[in-house]
Amino acid sequence: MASKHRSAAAIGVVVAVVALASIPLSFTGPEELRLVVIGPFLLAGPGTALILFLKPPRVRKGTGFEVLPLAVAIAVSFSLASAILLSTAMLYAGFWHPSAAVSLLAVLTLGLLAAVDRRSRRKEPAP
Amino acid sequence: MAVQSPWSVSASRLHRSDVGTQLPLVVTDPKRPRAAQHRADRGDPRVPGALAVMAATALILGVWALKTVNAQDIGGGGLIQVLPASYFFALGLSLAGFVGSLGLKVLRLWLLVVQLLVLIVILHGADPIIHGLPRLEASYRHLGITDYITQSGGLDRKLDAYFNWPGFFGLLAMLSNATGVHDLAWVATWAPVGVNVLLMPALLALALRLTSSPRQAWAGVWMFYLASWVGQDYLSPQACALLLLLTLVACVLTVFPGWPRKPAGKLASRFRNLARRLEPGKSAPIPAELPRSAFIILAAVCVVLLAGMTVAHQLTPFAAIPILALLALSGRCRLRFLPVLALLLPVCWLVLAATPFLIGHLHTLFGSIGNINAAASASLLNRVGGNPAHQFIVYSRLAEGAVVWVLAGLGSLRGRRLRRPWLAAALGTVAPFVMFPLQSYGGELLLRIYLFSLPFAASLVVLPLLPRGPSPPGLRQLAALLLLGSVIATGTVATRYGNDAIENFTPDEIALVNRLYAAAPQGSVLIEAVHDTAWRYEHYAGYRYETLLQAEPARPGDPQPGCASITQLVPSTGAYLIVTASQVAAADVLNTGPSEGLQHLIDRCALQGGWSMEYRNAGGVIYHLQGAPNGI
Repeated sequence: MASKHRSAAAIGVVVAVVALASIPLSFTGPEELRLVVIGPFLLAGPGTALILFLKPPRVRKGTGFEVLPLAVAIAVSFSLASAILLSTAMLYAGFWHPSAAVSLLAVLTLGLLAAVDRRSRRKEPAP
Repeated sequence: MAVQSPWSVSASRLHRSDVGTQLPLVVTDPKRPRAAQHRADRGDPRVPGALAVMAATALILGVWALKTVNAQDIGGGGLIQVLPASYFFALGLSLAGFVGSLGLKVLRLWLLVVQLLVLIVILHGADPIIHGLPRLEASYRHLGITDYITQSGGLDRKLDAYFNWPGFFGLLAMLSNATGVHDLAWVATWAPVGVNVLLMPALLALALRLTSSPRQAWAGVWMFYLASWVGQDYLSPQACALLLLLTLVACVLTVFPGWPRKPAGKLASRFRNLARRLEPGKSAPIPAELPRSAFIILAAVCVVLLAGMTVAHQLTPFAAIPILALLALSGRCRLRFLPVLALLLPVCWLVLAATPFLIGHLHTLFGSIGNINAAASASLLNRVGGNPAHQFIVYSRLAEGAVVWVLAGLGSLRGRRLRRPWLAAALGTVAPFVMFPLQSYGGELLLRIYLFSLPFAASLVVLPLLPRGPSPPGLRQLAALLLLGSVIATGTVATRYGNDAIENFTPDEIALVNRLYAAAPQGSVLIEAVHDTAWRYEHYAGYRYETLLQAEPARPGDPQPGCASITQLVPSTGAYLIVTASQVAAADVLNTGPSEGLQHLIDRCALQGGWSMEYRNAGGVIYHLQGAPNGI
């Protein structure tokens, strides 16, 4: 169980770093670096944070569902759907600011991850 | 687990969440040394290694074989005619490797994933490996719409339907603007591989809920890739929307199975009884340990997926309606509001957000509702045509679709007899057919129905060949699975790449189009001889694009085009005509256009006054056509 928590924490750290880096890189930076960071972030960043927020180990413990494929599928599909909805809203509103949209998604992702972190700290036994 | 006999069951190994699969009940002999027992439990550890080597060999050999193909040799019969024997050896190796991995005592997640990745590259990555350019002229148009949004940051909703469902293009434009990478051609080139890889978790999550064992689920995903000949996995909104749809259905089946909690009326109880009669046994377990907040969040995720689908693609949300409705009516979806929302969202979008499209296409959208004859003609009869090689490909596609559906039907019967889960998969298979009498979708509806129903049908196709429980299939079952997989995979090589001569382009053709854009002033009329040009990847709205001949088989009674047909399209200010090698191949393969041949017609017309050749290369030719003073 501890290793599962560790791997979830490691995934959370990676997503947080990518989300954090996406904010400045969505405005400036070398094209290749921006693509390497923002591409994967838009593909799976917000969805992965959501999955971590949903506490998959409890889902797994609950009924023995094989949740890994579903978790990955939701991570990707939710991220894509969020970006699709956000870009559509901007287009229809006549307010096309993709860098700001990426930053907004990154902030939401970081918010979810902060909530996950706060929850796990609350549950840690006092020293 | 304490038992009286000297044999004990290693209960701790019943379920290994790290491999995501149910493991066999293993009988343990306490007298055996631990390592020997471990080997007996999990099988010889060298076998997975050997299977991994097989996968690597298949990958290297397959890619090498594809690299040796000369794209110029591909004719009307498609890619299969020019593939070397080594390709089929590699494909066979990949299929045998996967079947061997399914036959292991303990399923190895990593090995199955590797086997599927290899299959995706070999079977669905042939176009990028051989041609190195985006497949299908639609890919180039999609790049053009993305470019339009990237450049303008807005939509021209009267230009065409794409701008009324801009979600997917908005996503690409967001990526392009936020990264500064404006050339996304490489994404379009490798999209068939990328899309299929992205589909894998959703397919597996879905298959795990449709089947009774992880082996059947993995085999179902494998069968999906083997039978997926429709080629809608290019850089397209439908590919993205399919991913959202599959995730949505998998999420519903996993998190919200069962009947609504509130007691319902007589009709609902009739459905309940019918579903129980059709598939007796325990209903799917509900994840009771999920906190209420998680249920609410996951329900919201389902709504987000539906909404994302709605703004991204015209057809996919309409496929979601019958699928979700049938799942709800059979006790597989507790969220009663979801099928209703699935109906409301696309209808509201059509009426409120896609108004320019709705007003201009009322007859197209609603004119053929209920006209099954028109739908059948558009989807079947009108597509059968072209030269004999092309007709063979069309018939092969119809046959492959029919075989998959028939095998899925047999799988359903077998599942019912053996009391294994089959109903949800069967409902998912038949649900998309509800769309058939609604409209023809440009003659593509049957093809799209196949695409939507395949993820469900694939699980049923393999059902009779795999045991119910966690034990591995026997040698005979594995041999049957390999044989079936080989036949369907060979069929898919023929059907998926049957139009390769038409659907792929050469660097010379791209250079020709670039030259056209350089020569033609903005706002000019650009004419393609056949609707098969790799253009509009830029200047999407900067020119008036016209087409002389559609890329579909000619029907009896179609007028023969002549020089006058071209002149009709030329305004008084003149126009540019582009004739590419792919257009000529398309006219030849599809038997469309003049009986004398497209090239002959163009050469003859070029001798008339007013035509001047602007540029020619190996990819085709550009003419400037002078307009008549009284032209349009």
